[in-house]
Amino acid sequence: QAPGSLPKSSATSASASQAEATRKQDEEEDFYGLLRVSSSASLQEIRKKFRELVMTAHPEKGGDPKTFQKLNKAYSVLSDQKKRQEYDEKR
Amino acid sequence: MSPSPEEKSYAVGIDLGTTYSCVGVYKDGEVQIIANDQGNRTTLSYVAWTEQERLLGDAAKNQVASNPTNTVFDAKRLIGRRFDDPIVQADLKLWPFKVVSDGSKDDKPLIEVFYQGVEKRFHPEEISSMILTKMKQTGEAYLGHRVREAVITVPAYFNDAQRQATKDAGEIAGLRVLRIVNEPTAAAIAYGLDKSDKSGVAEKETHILVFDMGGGTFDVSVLAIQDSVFEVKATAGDPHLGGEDFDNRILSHCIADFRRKHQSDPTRNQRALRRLRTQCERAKRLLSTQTSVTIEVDSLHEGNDFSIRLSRAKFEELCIDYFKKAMEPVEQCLKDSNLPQKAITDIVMVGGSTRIPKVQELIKAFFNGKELCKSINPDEAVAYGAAVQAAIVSGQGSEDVQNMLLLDVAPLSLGIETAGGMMQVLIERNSTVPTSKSQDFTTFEDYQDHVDISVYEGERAMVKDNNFLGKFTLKDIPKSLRGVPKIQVTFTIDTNGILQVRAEDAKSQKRSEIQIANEKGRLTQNDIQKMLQEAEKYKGEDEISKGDMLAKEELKVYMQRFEKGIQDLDDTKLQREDRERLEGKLADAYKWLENDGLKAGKPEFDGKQKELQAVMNTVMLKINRSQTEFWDQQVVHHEGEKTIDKGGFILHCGVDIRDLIEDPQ
Repeated sequence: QAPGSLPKSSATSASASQAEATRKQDEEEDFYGLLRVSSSASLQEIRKKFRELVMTAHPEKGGDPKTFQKLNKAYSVLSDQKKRQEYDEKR
Repeated sequence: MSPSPEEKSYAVGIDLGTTYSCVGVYKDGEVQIIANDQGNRTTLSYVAWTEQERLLGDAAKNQVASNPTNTVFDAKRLIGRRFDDPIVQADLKLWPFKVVSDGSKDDKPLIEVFYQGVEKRFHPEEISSMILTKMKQTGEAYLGHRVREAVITVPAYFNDAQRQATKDAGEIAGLRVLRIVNEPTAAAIAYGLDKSDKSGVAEKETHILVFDMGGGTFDVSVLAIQDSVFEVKATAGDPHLGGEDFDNRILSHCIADFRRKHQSDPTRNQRALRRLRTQCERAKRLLSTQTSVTIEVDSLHEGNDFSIRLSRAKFEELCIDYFKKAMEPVEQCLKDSNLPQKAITDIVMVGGSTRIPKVQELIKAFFNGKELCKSINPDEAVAYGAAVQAAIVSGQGSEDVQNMLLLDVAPLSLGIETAGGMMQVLIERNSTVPTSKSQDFTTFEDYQDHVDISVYEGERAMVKDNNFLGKFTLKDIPKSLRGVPKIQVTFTIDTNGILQVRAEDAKSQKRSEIQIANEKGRLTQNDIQKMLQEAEKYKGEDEISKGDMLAKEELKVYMQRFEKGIQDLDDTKLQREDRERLEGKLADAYKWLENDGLKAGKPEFDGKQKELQAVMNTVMLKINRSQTEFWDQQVVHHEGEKTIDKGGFILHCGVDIRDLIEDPQ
């Protein structure tokens, strides 16, 4: 078996299939803590706090990309009513 | 003199449009939109090659009717696409210039022109780089400083390959591309600054919808603005819908009419098509302010004149499907932003096509009669915002500008192919960038030693329905049963919206990655370097050519004066043979100009002028000798330098004959 020299046709069947446990990480993170709001915060509060935080955390403002991405992730969940509900239920 | 190390250099904002481009700079606390050498604040995105030279911008468009096959436009409709792309194939039929495939597996389109008798082929990136060069020069002429950095805008709905190719075009033009910014986002900055100027700081959160319809592309974005943070909530659009599509509809309408009236088909006559298209575009513009217009072209094809009356209603009928199609992204964008329609405080109209009354009417109706915001200039807003962003990124802005922050989004979902041809999305559309996401995958078969990672963008469940971006292979995975290996795939999107994909096997720590657009017909760094050199050469050629043109113009002006001079010389003073000699010489010069003059350079033009001057000198000296009273006084300043102090030989036409002769020495 010569590695990597497989014909194209078999390439598709050889493609990666999804592993189940991927969302565990998300559940472990405390999105409310990251955004420094209480778990009962209103959408307005969450948005306001996020904007405040990214003013220094955005890579363009000299922030660390990792930190920004975490904030971003937290915000994308908490600012979406449906996603926030799911997240709250899992906690 | 070598430039001082602290030589000032500005970062400009460039709106690189399908049909028009615009450049702005943030200077002394405000944005200046810069007019080009023709005095226009927008420059046509045209490049042309004539027998002698390369023309950029307005100058290129001006000669399009006489040189249609070597006048290139619409490079933005080609950039980052493959030759076999159905959109490219459809556009091809309408362009008077030739587009061919490069024949490689990437199937890149190349534009073919004739320049100085030689066939030349250019990548769309190169054409765009030439337009960017023109914009750069426009900026430099205004600022009096070098321009080395720029923010360039792209339609929000441009995909990864198109963004990357635009960035490459900037590099070929010798610009460091600080940022690729989405056009509607840039327009929103212009709107935001305009608003905060008028009503103080926008403390309250406002939601705006930017409707950006230009010459070739169409975007809709919904943004939330508060305290100088501009957050894009959602974006949607059509990367191939705009004013040119409307022009084409009018054009087809006219061609059908011409066929009916004259039983002949002008579609193969490029010159006729070009002339007709120009009139169609004009008609479209006029129909925004008047209700009907006449399209007229004399001797369009086979000696037949063409004339047709077009009403606004007819125009709307011709394009109504396009107009209606434009409402879909508006709906989609609102839906994606999770906002009710009434939450939108302002609808900002950007791009030339938003002047069309029917477009305004439809969007107004969509928002239940809400008034549209027209306070910002639809042609300049994007460049304005880009200039502000350039100032922010390069640190040249004032404090309030420096405090601004843009949170833009990725326009399309990004993911990889998993077993069964399914699309596994890693980054959802409308995710705020920069962003990064990892997900674990495993093997599908026992003892599988490699995996192919195929990257796609799009919203459909099956990858075959989405847009393929690239593929790479992670090899040498330690053999084990299926489902055991852990392969982490990471997608990273930078602030330019450009994607990078990495795959890593947890056990062997083997890694593989691609900057995705590399795989999809993107220019290699090597290509870019080559094109950069080529562009530099052109710049040299342009300058030489400029010198040539100047010398030629000078010669022409001199010849006109010469001609006038002979006419005005009195027969009593000028002998017949001398007159004939002068006239003969002039006729020769005109003939030379028509033939050899086409290929001649500055030395030849200067030489020709000297030749004429010499003949004129001899004749004048002869006249002077017999009529010494013409020179009242000759003053010798220095040795060999004489001027006529007063008097002299003033011709009736007002030409001072001293212009025509050199000092007799």
